[in-house]
Amino acid sequence: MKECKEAYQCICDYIDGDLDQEHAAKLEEHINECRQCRKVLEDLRKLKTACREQKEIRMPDEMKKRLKSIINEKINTKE
Amino acid sequence: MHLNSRREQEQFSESDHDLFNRIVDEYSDRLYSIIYRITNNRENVLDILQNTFYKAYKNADRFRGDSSIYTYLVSIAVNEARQYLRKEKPHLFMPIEENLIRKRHYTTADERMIRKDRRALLEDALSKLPEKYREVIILRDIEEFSIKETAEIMNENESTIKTRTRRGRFLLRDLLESKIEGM
Repeated sequence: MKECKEAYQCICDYIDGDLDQEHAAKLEEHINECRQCRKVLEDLRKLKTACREQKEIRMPDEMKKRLKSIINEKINTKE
Repeated sequence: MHLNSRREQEQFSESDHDLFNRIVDEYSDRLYSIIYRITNNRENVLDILQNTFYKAYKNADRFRGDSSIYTYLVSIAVNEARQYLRKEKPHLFMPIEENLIRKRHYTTADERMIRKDRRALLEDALSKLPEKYREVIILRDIEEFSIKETAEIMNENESTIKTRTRRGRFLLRDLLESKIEGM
């Protein structure tokens, strides 16, 4: 149980590649033995990939035109 | 378009009008995405965006080129989005117990989400995260800013960002529960 708690603390660093070799090896050893932590790792990896693949929400063209015109007007007025 | 050359930094900090228009063209879509996701509201994104660009232009002399122009713009946008939420939606700032999220069950209405695609499910879960975790997941995992850049944008230290990233990811996992399997 203590090992699971420790695994939870460093699992995100591991996914991000920010965990040093010694801790990474310790975590891998635990994950090989613990089904619950293995599932957490799989889920978090899937979520990270899903987030990365999440599309940019496109700004409507009309809004972009309005934005440029409002900003330019604001800048020209204040200058 | 890369605006990181010394000349372009100088032009930007001199409030060069043409370059500024190019910056608006280049970054408005990406900033729109970030603001929309933080505020969960399409209607006010235009106001927040115009304030963001106007403040960036007005304070351009403060931009020293230590960060990229994009990071500079995102930090202003996140701040503007926060101010909007505090002003327009103060109820969203009621402290939310993280364990309430864990206990939340999908109702019939939520079940309809199952039929939506993965992207919609993720957007929905993201919108239910408390603001500080939503911001960090948007910046770290969707926009792929580094810990250092995210810390700079959110004006927090790196260890706070690491902790929030971890909590945010676990909360997102709790919200999506069994639906992660199909992702």
